[in-house]
Amino acid sequence: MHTATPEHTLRISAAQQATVLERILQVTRYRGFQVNGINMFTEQSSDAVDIEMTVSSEHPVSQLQLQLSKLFDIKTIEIQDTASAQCRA
Amino acid sequence: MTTEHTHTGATMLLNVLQQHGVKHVFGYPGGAIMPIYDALYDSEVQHFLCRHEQGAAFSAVGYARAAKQVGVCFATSGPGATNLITGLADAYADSIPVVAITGQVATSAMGSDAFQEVDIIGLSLACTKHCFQVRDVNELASILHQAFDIALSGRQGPVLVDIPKDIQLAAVTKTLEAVPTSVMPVSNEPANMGAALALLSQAQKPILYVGGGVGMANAVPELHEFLAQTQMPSVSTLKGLGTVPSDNEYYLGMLGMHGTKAANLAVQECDLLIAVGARFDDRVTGKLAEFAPHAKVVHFDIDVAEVGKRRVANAAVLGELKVNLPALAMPLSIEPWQQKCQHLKDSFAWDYNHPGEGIYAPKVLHEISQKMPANSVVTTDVGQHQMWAAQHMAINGPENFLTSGGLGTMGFGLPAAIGAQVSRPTDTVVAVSGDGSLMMNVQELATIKRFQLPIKIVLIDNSKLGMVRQWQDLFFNGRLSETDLSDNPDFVMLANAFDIKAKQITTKAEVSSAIDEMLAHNGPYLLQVKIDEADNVWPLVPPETANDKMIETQDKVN
Repeated sequence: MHTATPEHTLRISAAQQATVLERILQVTRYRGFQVNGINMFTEQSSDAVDIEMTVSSEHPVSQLQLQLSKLFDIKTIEIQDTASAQCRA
Repeated sequence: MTTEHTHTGATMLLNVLQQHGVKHVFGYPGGAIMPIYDALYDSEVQHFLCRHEQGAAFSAVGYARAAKQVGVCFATSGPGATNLITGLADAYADSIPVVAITGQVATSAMGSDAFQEVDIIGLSLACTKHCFQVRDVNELASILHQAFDIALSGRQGPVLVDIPKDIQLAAVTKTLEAVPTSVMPVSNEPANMGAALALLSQAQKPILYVGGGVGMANAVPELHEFLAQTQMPSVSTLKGLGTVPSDNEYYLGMLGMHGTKAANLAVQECDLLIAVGARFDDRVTGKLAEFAPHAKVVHFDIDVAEVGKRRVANAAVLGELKVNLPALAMPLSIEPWQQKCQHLKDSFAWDYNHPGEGIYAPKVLHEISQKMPANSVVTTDVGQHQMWAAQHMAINGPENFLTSGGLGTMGFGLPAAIGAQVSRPTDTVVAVSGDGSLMMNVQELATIKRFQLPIKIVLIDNSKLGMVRQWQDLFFNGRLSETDLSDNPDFVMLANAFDIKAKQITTKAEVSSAIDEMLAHNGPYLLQVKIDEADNVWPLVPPETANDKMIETQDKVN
């Protein structure tokens, strides 16, 4: 029986730096997560960006959250409820 | 407080380095960093010209580790910057505070595949704690302050600052700011201390598992006090060596793949493992599922991402070890366990009786550590000699044993010794290397010559890539693929070419007097120690095997 790889959505608030997206994607790949979808929102009046990223992996998503939290440009990371994402999978 | 001077980016850089107490930097000039080297000409910052940027990076690492302060290295754009990468990856793996300054092509040329242009920011993402590219000269000082802050805060690590050539030349219109006073705060979370205390008070067979994080946290005195109060048996990682005094009654030595039998057997039997500044590395745990199978775990660390990464902790205590470790100390009633560990230690003590006239490397290294002055620094390269040094040299303080632990980088030892000797000019520095490793950064003999650094190089020479050869013998049916180095250069002649006194020894009868001569020599010295090419490092826990299933001699393999 096929078991879907667990999927999770992360909501990330980060400093608006040129390299921030590369850093997030590098850590995500290295730690064994596949990016299934990503959206980034910037506001001209703010120095922050908001990123919504859906990832899948057999690894615990909490480990990715902890590793991403170590990046200097990251302000907050929340793991969104994954129920709807799991339904899609 | 501000200083009213007219600065360019280049002079501003050197002033900010001085603000952070930097007296020595290691580097290599080139086109895109020439304004900085021009400013160096008039600066009080002393530059040590290495002969390869990788040597400069490793010297900065050695400096940082021996001096317990930030190491700084310079390189130009393109190949200069890429040559730093291995050193930065090494610093990242071992959490060493380094600030690397790279020149970059002018901003007008960036992105055009210009001569000696490389995207060093992209390349360094995976091997630095953070990296900056300066695009406005008025932001340079602030970025450099941040770089030092990031390198030193929390779990330490390397930071790269890439400075385009036009930014180095541009006039700074802001005044020089004072160094911001605060290092980023560490959040202490002693919430689980109650659980940790309960676990320790119930334990019958506790072990303290000491990692490199203790030294990094400047918590060695607190750890000594903790051991004095608890009288708990302890083991060490490779990077933690020197933290627990080697004559501690219940210290069992290094654990893991080439750990002592006593350390590995005790850890496999313990009922509580208290990890302090250690990360359950695969070379420590062997087969993870069978590592310390009866133990509950208390994990002290400054990096929350290490907790539960490879082994679930029953209680995790995050934050400053200096604060948190003393809170766990208590007298314990564990006499049967102490006696068991002492029995293991006595039963499996090293045996230095070696048949024949040939030289036994473990005995040589043991004798050097007995004879060298108390506060000597030992650096190693990577391979068999590294494991023999870890097993057999008595080290006093983690800042006195510099080895590439996480990345396992051949070529580390010689330039790291240069950094250590520059930072501590009155202390003896012994660089233990192998004939494979020494050739990886052999050009740094020229740096030793130029600055007349009195480093003692102990070359354990088996004319092989010994550790790979050992694994080929053990695990690849003796198919010795590309591990023969019998065409090595004449190392004595090579050292002499750099005005370094050198001697080769081939029999055990020569060992003691040669060590005495080397340590007494007032200048750099290379002692080439010829050993049997078939000598192996024992014990050895084969990969993906539990640590109590170690191989102890070749006889048990065949």
